[in-house]
Amino acid sequence: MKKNFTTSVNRIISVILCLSITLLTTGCWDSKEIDTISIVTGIGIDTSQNPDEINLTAQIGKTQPSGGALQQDSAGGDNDSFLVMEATSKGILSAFESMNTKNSRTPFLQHNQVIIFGKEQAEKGVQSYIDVFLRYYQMRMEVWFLVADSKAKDILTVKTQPEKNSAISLSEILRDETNISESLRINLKDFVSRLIEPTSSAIAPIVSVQKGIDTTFLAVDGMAIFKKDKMVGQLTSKQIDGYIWTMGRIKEIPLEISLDPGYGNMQAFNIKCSMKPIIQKDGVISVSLQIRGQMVLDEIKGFDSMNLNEIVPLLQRAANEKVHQDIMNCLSEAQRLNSDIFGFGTAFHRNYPKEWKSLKNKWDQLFPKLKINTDIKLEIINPGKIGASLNMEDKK
Amino acid sequence: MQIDKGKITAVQFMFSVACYMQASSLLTAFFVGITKQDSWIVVILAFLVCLPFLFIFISIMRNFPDKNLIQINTLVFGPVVGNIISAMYIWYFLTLTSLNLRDLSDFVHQTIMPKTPSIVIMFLFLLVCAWAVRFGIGVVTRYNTLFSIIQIVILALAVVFTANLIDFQNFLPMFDQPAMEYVHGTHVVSTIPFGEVVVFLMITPNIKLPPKKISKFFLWGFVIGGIVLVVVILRDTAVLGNVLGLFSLPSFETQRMASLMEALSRLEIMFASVLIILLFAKVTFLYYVTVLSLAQIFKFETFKPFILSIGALAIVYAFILYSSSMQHVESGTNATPILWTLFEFVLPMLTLLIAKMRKLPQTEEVV
Repeated sequence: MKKNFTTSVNRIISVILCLSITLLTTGCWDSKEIDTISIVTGIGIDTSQNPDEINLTAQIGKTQPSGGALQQDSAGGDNDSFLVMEATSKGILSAFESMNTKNSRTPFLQHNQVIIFGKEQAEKGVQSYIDVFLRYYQMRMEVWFLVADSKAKDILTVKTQPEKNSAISLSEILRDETNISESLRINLKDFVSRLIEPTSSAIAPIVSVQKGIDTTFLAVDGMAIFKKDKMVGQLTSKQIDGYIWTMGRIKEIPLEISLDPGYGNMQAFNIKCSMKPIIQKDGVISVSLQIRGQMVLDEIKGFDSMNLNEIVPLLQRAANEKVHQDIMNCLSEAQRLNSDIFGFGTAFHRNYPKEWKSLKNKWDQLFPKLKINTDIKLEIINPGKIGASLNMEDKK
Repeated sequence: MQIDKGKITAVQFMFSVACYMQASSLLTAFFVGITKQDSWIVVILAFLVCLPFLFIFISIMRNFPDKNLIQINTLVFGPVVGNIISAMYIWYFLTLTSLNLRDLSDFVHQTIMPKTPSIVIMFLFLLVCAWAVRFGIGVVTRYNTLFSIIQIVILALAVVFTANLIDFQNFLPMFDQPAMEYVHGTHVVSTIPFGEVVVFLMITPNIKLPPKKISKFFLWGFVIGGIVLVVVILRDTAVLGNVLGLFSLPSFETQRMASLMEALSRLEIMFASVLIILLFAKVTFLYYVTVLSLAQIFKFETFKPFILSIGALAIVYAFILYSSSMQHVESGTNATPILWTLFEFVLPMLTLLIAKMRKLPQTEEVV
């Protein structure tokens, strides 16, 4: 009898405990229901009139009913997939707090896709506004870091196609960029990592709004160069090619060659780059860059009265020359700004820790004179689906 | 007189040691701030430094196979000095319990549930621990094998998911810091996660194994724990690079970066659950050891009356230990390692020496 009693008491206790788990899994004081949060998809930071303050733009994604039919019904009405809020304040979180009075929902930052600094603010300095992105518990390091070519607000308010939400569309664009090279996109970790290296200069992609035929779209072209935490210049898209060749980690990259007799377009792949800092015995420092890769011929135009066997070495030589030229263009721009965007200083530090102690202090004088020795060997291994081109066959 | 008559198998013992060390492997801020990209070297150094001490623990275990640390103290140092030393050990166990409790609550507070009061987290957490402790050593160690394996699996997954972010250049330059930093770092690692295995001296009589074979399992547990710690540090350094030293929870940030293509990302919740599971194992064990040693010193026949009072004490103590987590890291880096050296290295060594001098285990056998 007693045993029965204890087992039933035990049973009741375990049922109560099981039920209490449902209380515990609600998240206590931190419970967040989907209809009480506004999911921030993009944060833009611009200058404001007051030099001590910033103008914060937050793009907030709207949750939409699933299924296309419903969306079509509401067409004609307000069909925005996002809303944009802005506030001016001293800090980023205080700006969010002042938005709160206008917003019925609390901002939720875990799904933030991009941080965009307006060009003006980037030129003034970004460091003081990065702290919160590292410190605040909702912020994540994998968020993309960009600079707008004008105001960050313009980027976040623009409607894009096919992704309506410009921040999400930006993160898709950046994802596509990695098909070429991972050096083309910068997340917060990459940026901060560069920022705290004493000799390196950080870079960040530049995004701009461009008008299409009947739509607007976002373009990521150009790279902002930072000296310490201030933007000092930018790379053109050709110089960016030079940058990614120097940094290695290229997956596939198109090469466009224009020569006197004709034009060729090739896809380079299977690329292995190795960058080696060198200190010679007399103390002269240089960087040697070895690039090996293969190319496929995708398109040729012109080259009349030549056959494929003549064209291939011609294109090959021109491609190698072009890559060399791109690298040099990029280097000279970086050297002009005295910004070590390649992290050469860090490479010397890593490979020559002893010598670095003396190099470190005069790096600002050394970098503008640094030489890169390139050793580039890209080979065309495949002419594509056809052999000779149509005009060539005519000549035979 | 043995209070807890429960027995655990050698494998359970081995994984308890491993699990105990793995729990600390996730909170690495104490030393990555000191030695940065060379932290993994420091871990290996500390591992080697700790090996001789591990053999001291093992030989104490062998010499006194049916005694726990409190009984050994009374036997070796005599009743008066022995009890003073035992009281110090009880303070050490209680402090460790509270420290780990505090770690857990800080972690939950900083990362998942910032608005929930710490007291709620600590109270609920310790309640579960108390429940486990109530059933004695068997329940305290039973799930450690599982916990340990779960952590190893999740660690392996996390390494795979962060594989595309790993950059081996981040380990360079090696040995770039002043030599003292390495000594400091080694000291911190050897006292904070590694030396803490001294608590296992409290459960020697409960291991269902002839004392001669214990060394093998102790060592293996220690090796598993050490390897996990090295892997965690290697991964964090390779992924985070120079950003590593900025964060109070580098592993958490690493896990946040992890993703499998775009589809499977935001995996830090795995890390959070594993950390909580492992800290549960660790806190439960420490809690159990505190309660047991208290019962031992007051010659109680059961330790159950102490459970709730020590639990309450541990929670209060956890609150007053440090006013902030910065202070915690600061003292974990600079003060605690020096204090812990006494309990983890000096006293066990002294115990063994005096026992050898007084030929204690032998006389015990004769009597």
